[in-house]
Amino acid sequence: MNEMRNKIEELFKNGEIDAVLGYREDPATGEVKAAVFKKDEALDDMVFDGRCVQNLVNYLPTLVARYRKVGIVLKGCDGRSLVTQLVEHRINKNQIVALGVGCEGVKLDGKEADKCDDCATSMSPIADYEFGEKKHKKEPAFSKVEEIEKMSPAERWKFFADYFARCERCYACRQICPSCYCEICVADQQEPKWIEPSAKLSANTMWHLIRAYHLAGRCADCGECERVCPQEIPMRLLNNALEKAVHELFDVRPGTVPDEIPPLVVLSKEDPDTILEGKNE
Amino acid sequence: MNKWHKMKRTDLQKFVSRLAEKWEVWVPYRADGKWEFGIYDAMKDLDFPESIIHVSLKSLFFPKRRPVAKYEEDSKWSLQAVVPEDRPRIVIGLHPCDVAGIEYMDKVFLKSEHKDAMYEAERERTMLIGMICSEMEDNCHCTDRGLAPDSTRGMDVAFVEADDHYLFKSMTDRGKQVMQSEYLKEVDEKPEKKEWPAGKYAIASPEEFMEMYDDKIWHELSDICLTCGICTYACPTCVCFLVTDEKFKGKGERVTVWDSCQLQSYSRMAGGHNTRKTPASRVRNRTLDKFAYSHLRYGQISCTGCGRCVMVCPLKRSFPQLGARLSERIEEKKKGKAKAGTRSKEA
Amino acid sequence: MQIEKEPKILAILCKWCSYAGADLAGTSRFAYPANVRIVQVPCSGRVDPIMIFKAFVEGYDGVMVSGCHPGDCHYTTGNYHARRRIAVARRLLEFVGVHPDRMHFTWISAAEGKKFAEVCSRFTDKLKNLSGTEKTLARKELAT
Repeated sequence: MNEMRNKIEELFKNGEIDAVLGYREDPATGEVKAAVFKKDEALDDMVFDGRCVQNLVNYLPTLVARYRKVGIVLKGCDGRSLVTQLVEHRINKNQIVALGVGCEGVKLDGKEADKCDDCATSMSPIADYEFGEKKHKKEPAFSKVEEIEKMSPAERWKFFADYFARCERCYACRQICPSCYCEICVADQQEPKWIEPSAKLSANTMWHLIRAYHLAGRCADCGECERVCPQEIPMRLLNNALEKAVHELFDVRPGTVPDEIPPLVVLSKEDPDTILEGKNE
Repeated sequence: MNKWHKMKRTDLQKFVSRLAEKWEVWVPYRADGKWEFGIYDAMKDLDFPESIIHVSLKSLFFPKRRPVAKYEEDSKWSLQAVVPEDRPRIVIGLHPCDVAGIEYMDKVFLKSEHKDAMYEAERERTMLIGMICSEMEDNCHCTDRGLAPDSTRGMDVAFVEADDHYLFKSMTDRGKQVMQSEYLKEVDEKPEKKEWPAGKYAIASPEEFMEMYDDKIWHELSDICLTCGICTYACPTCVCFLVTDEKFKGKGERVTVWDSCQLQSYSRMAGGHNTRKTPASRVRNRTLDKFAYSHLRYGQISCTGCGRCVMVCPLKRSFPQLGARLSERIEEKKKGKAKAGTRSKEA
Repeated sequence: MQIEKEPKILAILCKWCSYAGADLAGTSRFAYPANVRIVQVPCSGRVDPIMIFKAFVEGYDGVMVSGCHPGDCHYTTGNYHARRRIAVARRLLEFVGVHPDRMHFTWISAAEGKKFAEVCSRFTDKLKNLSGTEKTLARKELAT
């Protein structure tokens, strides 16, 4: 941690960055939250440990618009979502300094987060400076996805319908996702109105399906969507199902290789037609 | 003289079951570990949460999705207004901040130029049996908003937990209807008068807030905010709504659905222009609405100090702290310590 | 009403190949079931999975998408994009509980009128076999 603080102070001093996105521990409450540290601020409250849950990449675009160049503290999963932002040209690499930190897992409600079971990389794939250790990548497990795949179609729908019916359409999942950045979201489009605004099962189903689909091949599995949902809908389950699909169909794990074009953008003439077939065909 | 009535703890469920014979009774209940309000089920044990639940009770008077007109695509093509409910109803377990929220909604829906008939019907048919708070939770700050945890304003009947029993008192003529019960005995006892802490989130006056419109501080305050809208859904006084038409298989409804000024599309107009494109402008709108605009329009600030916004925020931001930080800045400016606010770069 | 028992199929066909193939089926008098409702798109690459999701939510029993054969796309590469998109969309729908038999994706050229008729017949039969099972995702009423 001190190593990182020193490096940040150095970067401020030589004028390379104007602000740093990191995690601050509130001295009064002990809570750790995302925070912007500006040039002349003390870095004593900056921390990095298992309480640093939030994905900071979400705030990057607003900050690079306001400050010339910004440093950002990156866990492995957050780094994956940064790869997507860079590949899609939402941010330029020369607007940021990536400070990769070897993450040992984060805690949610006192125990290790589920997403850490499937950690693709503990160190950000994009890092100008690395602090801490890089751990080996785990092969994707997708065990929860496989559990659903054992169910019959009717059972699966019952499982999901119960959750979709609860959705409030607060769009916290959309707002917190770095990869969800359309200026006019499909859910807000009026002509045609694909998704009705009221929070009822049919409209919620449309929302969750299109959200998961638009993230296919781009989702870094940072898990924030599931964390912020006030109704505790298993958002990651849908994202992981498509991550598994994309892995099986196109041998890609989103965000793990810098500059890799997302699979649904790639033009491939070689895909076999069998990918269009259902299980019974 | 209107006195308090005592009820044994063990009699509460029987009392409520008796009420349920004549009224539609709404109580708090737990579903999958989450608290909600719903119609009383005599098969389930009656239970009250320790503090306020995050779900705002405004949905009992102003539902998330509310049909206001219906039509059928048949040969006649007729449009009918939806007939409001009129079955008498009792809601038990509202806290003073919930009732304050309802009073504010009354100002919006009943006392302004356009009376909302459906809201009026829900209010007319409902008796409010409010629960006085035994203590203030971490996020509670009603005392900084002109309220108190033991306020009975707006309730038809108030009750409070005391030692091994409950104390009930009717506050209105409507409330008297339920007081003739074998489970209630008039007593001289009164609830313990408590001193409530205040000052945690004290704020400046509405006029002073209005002067902060052009200040640059809004960028700092909206730095980390997602503008997801969860705070507006949980807030008892946030009542923005959208009117939209829905149809399916030859039938249609015009409905009002909850909307949120925090969502990026809220101010988007035909042609694509959006007056509140930036998160800073949206955060400013909500903050000033709670602490200033509402006062201008209705004579009272709409924040009730319930703290739900803090409970539900995915980033554990603190809206009340935001108000307090703004108030701090107002003080700074008054004393001339801070630089005078310059016009912010973008709206 | 008797019509409700017949499966309702949405067929999204690309204008240059598959729709022309359907036209050919008609002019050649190859009969195919009336269950199929056709929507024309300029290219299978225009097919947005949200259309497929919407079809199932609004109560269609089955959805069929057909485009030009790979290599023959009128816009050169549209169908390659369609292939990937639809493959992923299918997996998502299967994951949340749509029976795999309810989706059929294929390539039909402008000359393949007979194939179009056969594909529609077989698909309709498959869906009739499923008529006993619950139609997942389909909304039941206006308020849900």
